[in-house]
Amino acid sequence: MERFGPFLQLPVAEDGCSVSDLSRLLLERFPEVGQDALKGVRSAVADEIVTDDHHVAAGEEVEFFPLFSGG
Amino acid sequence: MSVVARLTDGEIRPEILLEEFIAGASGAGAVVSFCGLARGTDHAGARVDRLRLDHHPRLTIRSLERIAVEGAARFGISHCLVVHRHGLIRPGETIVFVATASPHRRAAFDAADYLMDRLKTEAVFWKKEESEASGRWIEPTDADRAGRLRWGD
Repeated sequence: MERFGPFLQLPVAEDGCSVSDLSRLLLERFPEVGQDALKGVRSAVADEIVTDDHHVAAGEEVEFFPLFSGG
Repeated sequence: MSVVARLTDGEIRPEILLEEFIAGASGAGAVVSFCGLARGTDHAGARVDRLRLDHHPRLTIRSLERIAVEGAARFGISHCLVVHRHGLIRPGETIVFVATASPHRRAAFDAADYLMDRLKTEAVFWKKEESEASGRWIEPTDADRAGRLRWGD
């Protein structure tokens, strides 16, 4: 995940997109990273863990995390 | 019902926490506690000098609170305490302390067991075993996942 940098703005449609759409945009922008880099990645919107089909509004912030280790 | 979850970068003193917990568990007939300690070796037996637990400033404590609340409700226990460490942890130090109290022992045992299975697989941490020579990020093991699955929720 560090290869994407700490913060990134991506262009999306006015009515937003899904988290998986954002993942695809990330891979388009960083093709050298490869699809495996997103395997097991979790995401959160407004401090809630969300699934890939979660709808993200334009301007909303999404956090991507590597797989959790657990406690 | 009293449910408390805490996240700390300081030393966890289980003996003090347990004493306080018992003192506050009014009406309980059973108290169960569990301490998870940092090991000095990894799964292959190689030396580990320290464990590094990275956390999220908001999601980590929320994950601990959610697990504690849901575990306490599931088993109907009267008191529940979860204290989890983050930061750099040396072998032998306590990573996690869980205590449960209930009128009868079975619920307290089951709740503590359940809480630990969820903490091991769902708590929002990124854990790295570090030595002078190397470092390795770790994931829940197959045994951790199997432990979580046996509760069927």
